[in-house]
Amino acid sequence: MNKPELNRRHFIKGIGATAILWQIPLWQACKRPVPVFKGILPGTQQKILHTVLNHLFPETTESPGIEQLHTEFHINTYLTDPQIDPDEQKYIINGITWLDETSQELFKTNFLSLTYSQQIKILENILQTSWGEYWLSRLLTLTFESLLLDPVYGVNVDEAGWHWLHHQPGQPRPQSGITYPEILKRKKEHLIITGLDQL
Amino acid sequence: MAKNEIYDVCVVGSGAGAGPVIYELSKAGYKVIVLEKGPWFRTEDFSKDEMVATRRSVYTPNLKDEPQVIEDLNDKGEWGAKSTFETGRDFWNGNCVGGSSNFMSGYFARLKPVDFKLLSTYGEIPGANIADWPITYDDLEPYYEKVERLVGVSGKVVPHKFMSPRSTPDYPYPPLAENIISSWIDEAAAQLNIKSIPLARAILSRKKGDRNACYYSNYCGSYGCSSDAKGSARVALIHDALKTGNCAVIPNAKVYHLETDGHNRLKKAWFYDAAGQKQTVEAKIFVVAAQAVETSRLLLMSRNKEFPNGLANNNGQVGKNLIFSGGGTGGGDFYYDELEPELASQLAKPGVFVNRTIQDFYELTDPRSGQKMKGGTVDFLFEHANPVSKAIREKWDNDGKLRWGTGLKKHLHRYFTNVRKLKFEIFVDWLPTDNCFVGLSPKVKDKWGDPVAKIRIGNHPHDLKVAGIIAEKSKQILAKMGAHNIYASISGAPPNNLQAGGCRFGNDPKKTVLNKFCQAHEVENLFVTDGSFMPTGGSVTFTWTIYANSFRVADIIKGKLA
Repeated sequence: MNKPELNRRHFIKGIGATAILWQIPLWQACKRPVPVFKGILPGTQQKILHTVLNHLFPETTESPGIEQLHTEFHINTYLTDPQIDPDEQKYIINGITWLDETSQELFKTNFLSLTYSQQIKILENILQTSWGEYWLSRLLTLTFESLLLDPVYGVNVDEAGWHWLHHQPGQPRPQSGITYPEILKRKKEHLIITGLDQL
Repeated sequence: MAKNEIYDVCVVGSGAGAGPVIYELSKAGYKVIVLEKGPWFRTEDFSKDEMVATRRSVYTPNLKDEPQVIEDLNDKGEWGAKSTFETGRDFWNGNCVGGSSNFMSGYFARLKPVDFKLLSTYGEIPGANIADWPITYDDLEPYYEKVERLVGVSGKVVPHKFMSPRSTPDYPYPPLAENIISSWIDEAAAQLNIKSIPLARAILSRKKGDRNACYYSNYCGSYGCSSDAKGSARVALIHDALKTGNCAVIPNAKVYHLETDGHNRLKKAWFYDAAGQKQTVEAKIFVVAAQAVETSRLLLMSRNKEFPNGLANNNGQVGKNLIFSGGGTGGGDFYYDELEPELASQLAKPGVFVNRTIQDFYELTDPRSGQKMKGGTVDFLFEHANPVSKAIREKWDNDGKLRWGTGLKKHLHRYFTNVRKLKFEIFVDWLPTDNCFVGLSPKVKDKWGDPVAKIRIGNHPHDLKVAGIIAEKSKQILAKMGAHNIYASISGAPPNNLQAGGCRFGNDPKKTVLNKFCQAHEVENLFVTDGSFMPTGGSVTFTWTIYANSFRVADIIKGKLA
């Protein structure tokens, strides 16, 4: 899908839809304190992101969650990657703000103060908007990257995602020196190659 | 590169259209210089890293730096232009030494004799600019055979009613190992009186010189090959060219202007080096093979007094009649838990190929008119093993709603552990029309300040009709196999990796850019050897034909230089 414009128009459509009955995931059932990943986002924004990601991709007894996968680390890497479209990066960050604004508009309080079911209602609501659907879709894509990319990128720790989905990686796997963005250095090489011995 | 050296041949680009020229002329003792816009990725640089191969722009330019403009029909039926940087709709392919041949799947099929005379065989179609080729299949056959030997094609010849004539009995390399599902396709097709035949691949099934055989990595298309089994122009041809001592390759050299001498001859190529500095190369003959869109763009950018509309474009034909491969895709799912454990285990076996194609539909009967019409090809393949991309495709449910939470996780787990998806790809002619062409954007520029290509991508409705008929027949095969969730998606959206046309070859200098030797009508020492020359594309992938034609033109250039 094409990226929508970077605003929140067409957003508020009410919260009439009834929340689906959700299996309460581990992170909610255990009521663990929210560990704050330290990246480029301010603490509150990071906590909101953490909470949303847990809703999108909750840890269960059989499957890894975002903490084990280092999803927030991966998103932070994405947000600081100079190769990425700055508009896309801003969109990820703006979405956090817009989500919190939605919470204020619909429940008169911030997203982190909502109950579990109220947070679900907010997410279902923004899914009916083009910006919200695109934002959550982008977060899921980044979550999938943290689930299934090679652990050399600091994600998919202990190959937890691969084990869960019985995925067999291809060989050879990426090693230091040829990973992204190291491989991009080839695009700056000033060479005239006249023999195979130069390669 | 010695200062003031005048090379025999300067080649712009280094993919399938360039490799044979580089190889043949270097081997013949001529001094060849290659200007390649992208970097040199060595075989050791390639791994099965999804981050590098598909998740980020590593093998293709960053769209911030090098956008293109796509002109498509909007909801009101008007042509609207948007930068690919705005939309993320990327039209680049592999930009590196060897070009996109490094990342192809290597599904190889020859054109058939009828593809060289589509107009005279089936007649005109209103709204389409169909033209016969100025050469015949017989002219190209020896070069198809040469590609089999030099680039390396594996497979098994099985006679069928639309088989392209061959000068040798079989492929030089035996077929690659197959998954059990290939025999299921054969059986189901046979029950429907359809002939399923082995699909040839530009992948070595046994060692060839320095290149090792395929090791069935399970990650072929979109990935560089780590055994050099895949027949990229880089390992199959350019490595050998370098061994002659007659060839020099400058990676990260973006050519932006071809300069003429005032007498309809090219004199030098201007390029930006890796540091962004302007440089020049002089040569006796210039060969442009930058892939169809960028070849037309370079010619259009190379304006001067002699050629105010762009190089070799005084008849206004450069960029016109761009074509892609028309068609679509489809597929169906097989569930492991419905199979005996041994069969499920064989179906789940990674790495080995499907390698089945159906050519029976190459000619069809129009259901309305009852007239014969050109049809197409179906190739079968497994869904790519790329796990992130696979998960992303499962984000949306059948109603187009985003999956998330525990429901998403249950779905993902079942999909990854219990489903093997068999896909099919349909290839039909993308009829050339006045609404599919390359121009220069008047507004959008790349990081060097040059106008980017503006690509109008209109398709002809006939393409969809033909593809739709073949899709229904293909779905019947999957149904007979017992697949679930069978679908087909026929689209007028062009596949960006299968592009040709824009510098048509032909005998009429008023209507074509190149003569039958792929030499510009207006510029004696300019040849174009990528897919740009093709007036029609046939109903198979282009790469084998591009390789073969480049070998043909290499012989012509050798004759000119002798």
